[in-house]
Amino acid sequence: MIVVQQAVYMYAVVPANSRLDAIPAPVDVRLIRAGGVAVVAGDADVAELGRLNQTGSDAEQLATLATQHDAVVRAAMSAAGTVLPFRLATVLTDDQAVCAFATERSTEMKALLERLADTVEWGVRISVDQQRPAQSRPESRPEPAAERPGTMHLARRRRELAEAQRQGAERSDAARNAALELRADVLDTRPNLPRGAVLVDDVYLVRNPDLPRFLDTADRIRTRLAHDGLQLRLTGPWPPYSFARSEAFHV
Amino acid sequence: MSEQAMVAEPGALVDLLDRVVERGAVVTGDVVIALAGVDLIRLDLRVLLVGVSRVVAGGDPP
Repeated sequence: MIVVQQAVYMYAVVPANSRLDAIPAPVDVRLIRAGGVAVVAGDADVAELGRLNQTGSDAEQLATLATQHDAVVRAAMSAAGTVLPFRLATVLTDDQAVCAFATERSTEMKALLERLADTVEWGVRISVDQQRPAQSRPESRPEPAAERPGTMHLARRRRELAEAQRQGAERSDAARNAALELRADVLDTRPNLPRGAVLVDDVYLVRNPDLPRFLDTADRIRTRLAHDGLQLRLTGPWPPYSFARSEAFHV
Repeated sequence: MSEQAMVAEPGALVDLLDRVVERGAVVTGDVVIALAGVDLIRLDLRVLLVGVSRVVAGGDPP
C-alpha cells in the first residue's frame, strides 16, 4: 500500500493533438502527453477521496465529486471531440506513473479512442407506465344471467388473468421490438438485464452524424409505445462511459 | 426532439453515478493509490448508492 497526500487524478484520455486551452474545465486540469495520447489529469486530494471508501460517507460529497468528474470529462469531450473516460477516482501516484501507464497501454488506448471517435452514449429504458395503463379490450361476451354466481366469478377471474397475461406478453413483445429497432441505428449496445417494470434497459453508442436519426426513431417509438401503456425514457448525451473498457488496464 | 442533455430529471444523479462509478476505463496495478487497503477504483457501488438515495428525492431505488 502506498501512503501519499497528493497524487494525480486521471479524468480521461484524449487524442494526442488535443489542446489544453480548448478544455475549459471546472477544475484545474493539465494534459500529460505520453504514448501518443494525452491524459486529462488534475491534482487528487487523497485524504478527501479516501473518505469515500468509508461506509456511511457523505453522500453529497460523492455527488459533488461525480458531478465534477463528469463535467471535466464532458469539457474534454467537447474540446477534443473524442474522449476515453476513466472511472471516478482513478488515481495514480504521480506524473511519472501516468506517463508509464500511457506508454505501456498506448496501443489499446489509441484503438479505443479511434472506436469512440465522434460518438456519444444514450440510455434507453422502456418500462410499464403505472400511471397510464393500456386500454384493455372491451368484454366481448355479455355476462350471462346470474344463476350460479360462484361459477361466474371464477370464470370472470380466469378471463381477467388471461387478459393480464396477454397484455403482459404484448408489452414484452412491443418493448423487445422497439429495442431491436433502436439498435439498428447505433454503433454498439450494452444491454442491462430487465427487472420489474423495466422491460428494456439498453445503453447505446451513437455516432454523432447518426444522432438525428436515432433521436427521431426514439421519438417515434416513444409515441407508439405509449399506446401500449409503455414509457420510453431517454437519457443523454453521455460521454461514452459504458464503452470505455473491455478489460481493466493493468500497469 | 432536443439534443440537449436530459440530466435534470429525478434519478439523473443515480444514472450519473451508475456511469462514473460502475463504468469508465479501469486501471489496476501498483501505482494505483490504495487507502485503508481498498483500491479507490474498487469503491463499492451499493454502499455509495445507499448514501446517494438520501440526496436524490424521488430517484430510482438503487
